[in-house]
This record gives sequence, C-alpha cells and structure tokens, in this order.
Amino acid sequence: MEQQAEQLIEEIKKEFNEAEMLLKKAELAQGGLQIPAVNELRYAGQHLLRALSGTSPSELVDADDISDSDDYVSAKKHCLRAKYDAVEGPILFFLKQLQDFQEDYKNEPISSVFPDYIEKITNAENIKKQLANISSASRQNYANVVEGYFDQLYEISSRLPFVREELNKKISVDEKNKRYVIYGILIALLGILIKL
Amino acid sequence: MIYSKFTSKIKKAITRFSFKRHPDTKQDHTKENVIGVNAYMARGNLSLQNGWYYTEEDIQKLKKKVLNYTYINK
Repeated sequence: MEQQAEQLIEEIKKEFNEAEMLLKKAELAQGGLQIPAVNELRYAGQHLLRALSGTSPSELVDADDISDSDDYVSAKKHCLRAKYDAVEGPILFFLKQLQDFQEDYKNEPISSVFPDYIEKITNAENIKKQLANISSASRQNYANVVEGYFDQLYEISSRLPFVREELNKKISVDEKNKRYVIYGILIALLGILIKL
Repeated sequence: MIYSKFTSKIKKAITRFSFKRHPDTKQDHTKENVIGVNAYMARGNLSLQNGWYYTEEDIQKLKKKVLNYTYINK
C-alpha cells in the first residue's frame, strides 16, 4: 500500500514538473500566463495535501469536477489537466495568427514564398477539428497529444513574420510595375493626342 | 516664455467659468482594477505584475473565434 502511494507520488511529481515547464513555455510563447493551468495545479496540490494529511473532503474547498476516491489519482488528473490548459491558450493564439495571415494575404500566391503552406494549413485545420472534439471533462486524457500540436503550430507561427516581410516586398514590387505600365500607357496616349 | 505664461493665464481664466464635466460613470474599470490588485499582490511573476495573463473567459472568447473559422474553403 505504501509502495503504491510512493509510486503515485513519483508520478504526480513528474506530471507536476512537466506541467510547470509547459506553463513557462506557453507563457514565453504567447506572452502571458495561463490562469486555468495555474488553478489546476492548485487543485492538484489540494488533493495531495488531503491524501498526505488524511483530511476529510469537507475541510478543504475544491471546485473541480474530477471525483475519485483516491486523492492521489485526482491529483495526477489535475496535473494532466494543467498540462492541457497550459498549451490550449497558445494553440488557439497560433491558430488565430494563421487565420489573420490567411485573411491578409488571401489574394496573394503564398506558396511562392512559403513552399509547404498548403500542408501546414491542412495540418492547422485538422488540429482545430481535433480541439473542437475534445470535451472539457475529458481533457486530461489528451495532455500529451496537445503538446505535439503546440510544437507544430509554434513552428509555423515563428515563420509567419518572415513570410509576411517577403510577401510585402513582392506586393510593393508588383505595385511599382503596375504603376510603370499605367504611366507608359498614359505617355503613349499623350503622344498620340499631340500628333493628332 | 512670456507668451506661454500669458496664454496659460488666459486658459485658467476661461476654465474657471466653464462647467465642470461629470466623471464618466458608464466606463467599466473592473478589469483595470483587477489587474492593479494582481500587480500589487503578485510576487515574482512578471507576467502577473504587468497584467499579462489569460483567464478562462479570455480563452473561451478566443476559442469561439478560432473554432468557427475554416482555413480551407470547400
């Protein structure tokens, strides 16, 4: 029994540390702290205290919906939820960035500057669909999956500013060429009028 | 220097007789107050002190915007 508790504590420690690392990673990626993940770690701490001190449930306030007779298991589930919540915000932020990018350059040939754009966009669409299918109550089961989504979208999002720069340069060159063509036509028309 | 003193005196004279505006009570300063309190209470985390954090409400708003958008038009 004690061995089981020790093993569970080790697992909780591992998940808690991973959740903290992801929280920091997400904070740096999005430029803000994810409060839901911090709350989940608080609940994990509460369950752990309850398990270690043998305190009855009514003495500690807990607003979570994970009901498990074993507080160690509940603490682990809350750590997994914290991992999910830590990356959910940045994933949505990266998807929004991609959405804005697509809206800004909808009339431009993006593939000429961003060769695997279509593959990345398809990937983003699939990630979005997967996120929509994950219910709030079962998010602890998808903690490791969403970490992979975070890495994929972070890679795409970090390239977007450079792609924007290149596309803007292309647009300004195209605009310049259009203007030269128009001036040329106007000068030709002027020449014809003068001759007449 | 003399000109700016003169104009500031004229401005003071005019504003003395102008009607005072009531403070805009319709504006909701709740979020600013919350950020202010968090900045006061937070120790160590710069993001909390600077008001750079995302609540459940912010994430749900962003989720609505993102999940309703289609990247690939059929």
